[in-house]
Amino acid sequence: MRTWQSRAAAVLTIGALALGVTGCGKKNSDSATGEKARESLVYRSTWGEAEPQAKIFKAALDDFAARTGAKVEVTFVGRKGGESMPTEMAAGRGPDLFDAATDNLATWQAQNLLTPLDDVLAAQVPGEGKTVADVLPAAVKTASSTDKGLGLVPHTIISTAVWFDAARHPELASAPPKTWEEFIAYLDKAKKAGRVPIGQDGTVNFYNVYWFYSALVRANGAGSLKALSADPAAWDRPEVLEAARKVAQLAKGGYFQKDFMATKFPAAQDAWAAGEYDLNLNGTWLASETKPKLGSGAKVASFQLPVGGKDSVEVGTLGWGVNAKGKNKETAKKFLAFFLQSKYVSQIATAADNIPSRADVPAPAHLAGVQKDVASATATHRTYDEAAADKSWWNDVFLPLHDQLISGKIDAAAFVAQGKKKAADHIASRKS
Amino acid sequence: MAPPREARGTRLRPARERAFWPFLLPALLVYTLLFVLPSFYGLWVSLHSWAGPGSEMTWRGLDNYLALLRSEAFLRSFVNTFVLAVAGGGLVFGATFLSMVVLRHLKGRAFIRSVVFLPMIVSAIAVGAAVGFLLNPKGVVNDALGWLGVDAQPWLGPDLVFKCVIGGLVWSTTGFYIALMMSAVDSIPAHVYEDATLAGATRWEQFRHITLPLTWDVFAVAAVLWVVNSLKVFEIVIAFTTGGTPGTPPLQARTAAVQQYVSVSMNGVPELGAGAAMGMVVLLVTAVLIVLVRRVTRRDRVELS
Amino acid sequence: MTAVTARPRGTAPSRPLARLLGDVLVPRLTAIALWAWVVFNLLLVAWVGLQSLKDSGQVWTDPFGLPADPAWHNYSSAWQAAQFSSAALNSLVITGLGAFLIVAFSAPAAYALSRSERRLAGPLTGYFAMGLSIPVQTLAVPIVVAKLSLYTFMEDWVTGWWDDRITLLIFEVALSLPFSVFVLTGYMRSLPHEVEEAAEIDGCGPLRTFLRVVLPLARPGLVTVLVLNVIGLWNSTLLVLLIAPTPDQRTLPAALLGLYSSMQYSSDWGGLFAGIVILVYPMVVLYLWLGRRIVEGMTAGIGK
Repeated sequence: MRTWQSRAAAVLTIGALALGVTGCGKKNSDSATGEKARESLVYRSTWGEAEPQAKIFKAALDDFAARTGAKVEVTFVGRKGGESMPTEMAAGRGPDLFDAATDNLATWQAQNLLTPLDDVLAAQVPGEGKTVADVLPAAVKTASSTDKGLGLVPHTIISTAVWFDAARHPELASAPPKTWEEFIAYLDKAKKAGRVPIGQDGTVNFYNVYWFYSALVRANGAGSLKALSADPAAWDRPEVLEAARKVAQLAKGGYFQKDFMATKFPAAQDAWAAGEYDLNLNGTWLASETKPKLGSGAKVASFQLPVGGKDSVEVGTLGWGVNAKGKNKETAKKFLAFFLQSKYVSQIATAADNIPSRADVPAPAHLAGVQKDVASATATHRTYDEAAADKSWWNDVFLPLHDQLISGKIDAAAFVAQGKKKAADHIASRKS
Repeated sequence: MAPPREARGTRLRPARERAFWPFLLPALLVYTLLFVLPSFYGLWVSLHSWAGPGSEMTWRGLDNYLALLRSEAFLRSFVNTFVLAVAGGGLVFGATFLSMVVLRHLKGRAFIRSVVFLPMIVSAIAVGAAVGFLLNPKGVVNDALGWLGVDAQPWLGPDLVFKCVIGGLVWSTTGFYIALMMSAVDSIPAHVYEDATLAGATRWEQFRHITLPLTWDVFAVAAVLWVVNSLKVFEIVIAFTTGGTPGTPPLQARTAAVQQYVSVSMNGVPELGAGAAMGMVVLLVTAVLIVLVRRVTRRDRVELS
Repeated sequence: MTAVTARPRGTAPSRPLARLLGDVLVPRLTAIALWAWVVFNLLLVAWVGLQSLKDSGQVWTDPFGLPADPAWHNYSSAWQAAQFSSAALNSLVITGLGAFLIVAFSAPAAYALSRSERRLAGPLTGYFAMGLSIPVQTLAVPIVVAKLSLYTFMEDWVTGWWDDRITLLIFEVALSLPFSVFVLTGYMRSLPHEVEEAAEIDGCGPLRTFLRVVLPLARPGLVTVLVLNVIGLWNSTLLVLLIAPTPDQRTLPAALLGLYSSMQYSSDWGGLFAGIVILVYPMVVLYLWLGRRIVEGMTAGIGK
């Protein structure tokens, strides 16, 4: 099939350019064999050049190049620049090293773009006498794996929590709500005191869904959300209705800011940082994103959404995958072990304000709580419980439906009934 | 479109006819190879399930199309596109016609025409970036409404945002149609209006009985251009909704172009077959709408002789 | 004279209501609305300019005030953060070269179509016009595929290198052809034939006649098509995101989108407005310069 397509496209382009050069016949890349001696590594990054992560990676890559003599080529394309990358990689045109995360591992996997990285686990972290496997916590390895083994080598741990400013709300720091009832009681108290309890960037549907996802999966463990995309019958489980009721309760209680569904991102999280709202349910990157807006005395802290049950903690990772169709896979793997030295990984905490992937490298103060939650969790689940992998269900069916729930347009029962029907329709349209 | 008119006394010299192909061929080739053929290729892709070059392409027949018909998101995006074309078209041409009543003799008319055209040249992305700033719940627009004693509105919320998109689109494109129609008005000889004024016709009647009939042909083409362009609306939706985040716009605001972008380029395995199928459906609808518009606007040609 | 014979019957004083509506209310209100619109547009352009000179705090706290202290550094930070410098160069080259190529391809074709007596000329004109109805969505998928295949093909077999910006340019030109050929064909039909016939009698070949006689005559139409294409190419976004999205290859609107999406990390709102100015003001200037002429060619091209 592949040859057919390239030929069709080639015919198309030849004619298009009216070059008529098919007869030239000699593949240009054949002549470039002389230069193979030097190792090289191509990394196309979806981080923006100005972001701290980009600076950390760039410096580490430079060190790596100096140490090994490899030729490193890195470009920071930003998030919008990465949209056509999977297609390019699949066509054999992509970089060796690319940014991957727990929530898109399945997608990379489905396109056969992941090199299994289990051999990197056994590699030595240079100069530390430990292997990669030694320095990464088990939950982090799980979050970075597919059923074919390790899919990405992580530099950062991400998770979700309810964030607040401990300087303004010391009572939350000393005694965070332990149950859903205590949580609601807090929201009521804040509301009564004339404050807006929760800031929510409602135009971002994948932030809205944090509420239902956290309520369902934290109580019922990995797989409970994922099931909703694959099996209509899963919607009948009582815990689904229960989680939906919690979200509906929030919507009905008026705990979000007025007209939150119309808030242009990042207005709400910026306003949260400025102290206008008490709480924001968000990822571990929240404090670093809102840093310019946080008051100088702010002391960001967090607690896990208290919903009881299994008390599962989200563990997601950000890291690098190695392009299965890349030309320099071995060099890429070498770099991955190289980067895991604590002198680089620690900068994820110190310069980028995130949780480093190594358990022995401390997170920044405001993330220490989440790092502890992750370390002590008895149950963990991945980002969005991997439910986002079926993207047409996620984007076209589930997120819009959840937006209706959180904005109070439909109640919990309607959410469940419609969710079940739509999941069935979606599965049917897949098969048809 | 523009039907070939009988040559008016054109007698082509053989030399010029010999130049026909050399003159035409470059454009014809580029257009055929890079525009028409890819469209057919799109048709071929739409009959498959495919994630892009390098991955396997499996035959699905018409299943992509059947799946579209069952997809609420797609149907919704289609209805939205249709609403946009009709409601937006009504507003655009309503404003254009009203302008034609007065713009012929208003003081500063050239200036007005220029400035009204201005938004057309501004990128939708820039408009959207500024608009998010203005239309936030606590943004400038709501502040201004507050001074007037009007309640703040959730402009960018799922229920209103599409109206804002239509408004933004009307604001940015009407100038083009005014410019187009007014340049047709300019070519109507002044004496026609003088006669009408003497006969006691009001401005509105002059528009109704002179301007409109004499510019109807241009309007017919303008209407087709509007239909074609409104079916492509993309940037302004992204800019008003999720611009700056990797999220997807709410169903209420998705147009067909946006829906296609979601299925082709957003995170996750690209579904090129479904995307191509959407493209084909849009093509079909465009063709139907153009035929409809031509039907509606068809009438006998009016010419001053 | 159909239109004029349909003149209204009554005489002025007998119809005060019609007079009031048709001569006073509708025109007055429309005029007021038009002027309000004009003021709004001008204020908006000025407002964006002012916002771009405020620091990020003042942008929010004092959206209507004058900048306290002109923050020119917004421009340098926008210029660097989203790599506007390379984007500006890309935009200039792709817009300039693209608009030139579009005219270079479409003008001769339009001339041939408008002057030929061949039976094929009519259907071929329709064939080009058909392209007007093909939305870019139909082409999105084939374009992505063609882009990748073209890259591989050129690199492996022809030149040894390739640049997606060339692919972008090629497709921008191809996609603009239907509209340009359509408008120019209409325009050239409206031109008198006598001069070129005289030129031919004088022994000019078709190419010479075209370059020396037809092009100068058709100048208003060419300017219209050129300027409309310049505006279209300058603002084109979807195609850029599909074909050349990386910071070194993308054009200004895509760079602005990139800057916009990095706002969440930098909160540099003044910089964002500076980015908008960089994108928008050049077109405003071009428009002030050539604006009047855009309309000249439009009717003749589209209406006839």
